[in-house]
Amino acid sequence: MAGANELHWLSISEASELIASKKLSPVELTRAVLERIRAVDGRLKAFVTLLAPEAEAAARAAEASIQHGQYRGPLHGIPVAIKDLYDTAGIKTTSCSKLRASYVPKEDCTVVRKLREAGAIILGKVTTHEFAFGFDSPPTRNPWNLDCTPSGSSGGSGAALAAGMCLGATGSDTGGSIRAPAAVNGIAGIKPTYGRVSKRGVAVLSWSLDTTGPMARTVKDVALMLRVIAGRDSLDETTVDVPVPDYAAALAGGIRGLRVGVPRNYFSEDVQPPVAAAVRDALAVLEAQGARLVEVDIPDAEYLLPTFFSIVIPEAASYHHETFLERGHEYGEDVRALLETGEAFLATTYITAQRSRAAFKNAFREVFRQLDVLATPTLPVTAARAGQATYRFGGREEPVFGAFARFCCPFNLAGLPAVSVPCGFSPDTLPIGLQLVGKPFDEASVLRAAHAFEQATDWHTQRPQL
Amino acid sequence: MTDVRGVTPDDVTLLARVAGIELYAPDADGIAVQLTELRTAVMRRAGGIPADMAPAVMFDARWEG
Repeated sequence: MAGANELHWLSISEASELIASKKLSPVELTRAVLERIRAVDGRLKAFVTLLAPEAEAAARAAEASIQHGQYRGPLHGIPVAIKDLYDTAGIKTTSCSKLRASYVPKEDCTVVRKLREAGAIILGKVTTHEFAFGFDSPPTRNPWNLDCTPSGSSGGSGAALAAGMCLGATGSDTGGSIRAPAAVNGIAGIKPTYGRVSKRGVAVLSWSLDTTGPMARTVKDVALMLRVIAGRDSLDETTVDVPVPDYAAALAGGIRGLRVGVPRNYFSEDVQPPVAAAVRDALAVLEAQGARLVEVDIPDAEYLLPTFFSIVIPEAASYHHETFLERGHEYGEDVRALLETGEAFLATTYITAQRSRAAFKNAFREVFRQLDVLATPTLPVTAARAGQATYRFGGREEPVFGAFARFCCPFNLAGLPAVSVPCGFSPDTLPIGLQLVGKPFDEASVLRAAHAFEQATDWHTQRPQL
Repeated sequence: MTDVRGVTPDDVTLLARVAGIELYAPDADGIAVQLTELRTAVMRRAGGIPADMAPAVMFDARWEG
């Protein structure tokens, strides 16, 4: 077993085996993680609200239950962090905005309720970009380089996991907000199929694009969390009644014969060389394990990003309209400008973008006729420096928002499950992510491919020096 | 495809007034550029979509059982 000063680095899978066999107390584990938070979060600033007394009390209750033979499963006694977009009963839920600084929900959102019922220990609330509408998550910093951001909008979750400040975390993903932080922090995260996981009680960014999902340091841990939180929720009409498999059990079996699509276009354009090299090497690893690489073309790809922006911007503006009328000046500058843009959107542009989206859904269905999963870089870049506005690709300057969204948002448009798993580092030791995308509700294949890749490499075992 | 008329900062100011929101004036230029780019791209894309393709948010009339 890990030494007392290493308990915070245990995976959920490792910790749960020890807890189930009573070799590790949830109290000891939670105290070790809280100690880690005290040691490093002053520099990282991932936690908005730390619930140390509550977490210790929950850990004592978990310990007592387990001692009495009432073990609930692999999340029982596991300390997790919750993105501050998710309602938590009696605990302020700020969406990292002045507008919700004093908002205290009466009820847990569905995902938090499910995590508590599974026995997870809620450590606290971690940062999000304001109302999830961005890729920075200020003031949080990246554990791999404190001059860099942890991306967003689930940046607090990504940083907390990479720094050993929790064993699991929740995120939300509308255009990359789970996968981008997973990639730049060197951890795993899945954007599930649209409708796989309830969004009830989670602040809205874009009704027709939002998803909620788990983040952790290993693919198996993501699978364990996903099984707990997935499923139809009668209080969220966007959720779909599709059976929830045992995603962890489905990791076994390897990937021999798995057809892995490799796009010839779009996902290879304007990519930083270290990212391109890491993903090429990752594809070779998949092939060495028996996967069959299949080259594919993504049609009309130049319209993916404009289609995405033309949906998310007006939908976000619609959600915020009433508040914006009276308190627009209280939003952060970047979010305010986006909401103003949304208010000026023509309906014909939005509706045409939704028709474009329907066409892309069909196009990806055709692409996937010959595939099991699709492999791309999660991002074309590594982490941005705090305050960085653009990335340069040859003679072209691209805003950070666009660079982070362009490889992720296609799969929000198509509603497909997509995981990011660590696949290397840049020469300046910034993590790089591999994105694996699957068919609707086939999270099992996506996670199996990601797990096989992860187990054949050691990228996920690397730790930042803090 | 018919050429899309560019959105001007004055257009943005007017639309904001119609919407009832208080526009932060310096944002108008950037918003105009962004709206023009997005509208141009989306309307260009529209030319390649079958006319009978419905938006991806069509109403589902089914009731839960």
